Amino acid sequence: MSSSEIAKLHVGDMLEPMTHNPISRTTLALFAGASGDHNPIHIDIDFAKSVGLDDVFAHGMLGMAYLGRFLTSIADQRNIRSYSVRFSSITQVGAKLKCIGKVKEITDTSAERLMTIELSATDQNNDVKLIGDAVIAFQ
Amino acid sequence: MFNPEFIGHSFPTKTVNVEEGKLKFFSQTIGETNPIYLDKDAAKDQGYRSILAPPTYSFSLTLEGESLRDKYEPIGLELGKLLHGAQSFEFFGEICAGDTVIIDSKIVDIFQKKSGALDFCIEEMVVKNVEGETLAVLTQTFIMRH
Repeated sequence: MSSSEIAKLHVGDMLEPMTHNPISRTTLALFAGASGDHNPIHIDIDFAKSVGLDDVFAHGMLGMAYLGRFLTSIADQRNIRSYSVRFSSITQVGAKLKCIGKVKEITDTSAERLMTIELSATDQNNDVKLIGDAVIAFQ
Repeated sequence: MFNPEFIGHSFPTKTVNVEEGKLKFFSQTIGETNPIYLDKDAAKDQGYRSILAPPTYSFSLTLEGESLRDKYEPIGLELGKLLHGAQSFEFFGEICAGDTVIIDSKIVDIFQKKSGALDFCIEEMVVKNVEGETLAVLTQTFIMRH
């Protein structure tokens, strides 16, 4: 969205959601290499079983990167002031994450106008996986 | 258990080169299609020095060249029990391919909840450019399930 389009949003407005492809084991292997997070809990089912789990699960930061793509589709990255999430439950293999955003607050500082966007990512069962917010400058 | 004696512990400062190939691989892996994250010329056309690092890429830079085991086992981490509880970023400048960044990290808190069933470790990381300007401040919350 352009800055002028963002400026037309009001508190409470929902943003157009973004749905990502289901998370495959291949994606987890690639993300382990690409992100530098080599924790075997995400890529090695033998390790997962050895610590009492049935299967590997997705890196939290993969979900945060997907939600980040949603965020940068809304705002120019140079205007993003902060971005925070809580990983509220484990994201399983096969999860199809839907990124959701809602305008939570608009505030003015002496330097710029800021919009807080409430963010979440849910899977195909509507289980919330990530919940957080981002602050963007828009004028 | 995380050892509370490590509250305030600083890890050695590290210098990381933001490599173009690695950065592109990350963007491709997360399905990014915006050319500013994939193509140097497209990024330059939009006013960036080179390919732009996505917002969460600084987290990966903090992991570069280290193993979770080597870094955190001394403070009590058991990898099989680890969960990423929360993550936050404050942004002050962009990171692009070809940049060199300086990363400082320290443990700011260690505590327990639910009578020790959940064990928390909070780490703060500051990413600066070679001029000493802060580009990003990251706060990560690790949780171990007992």
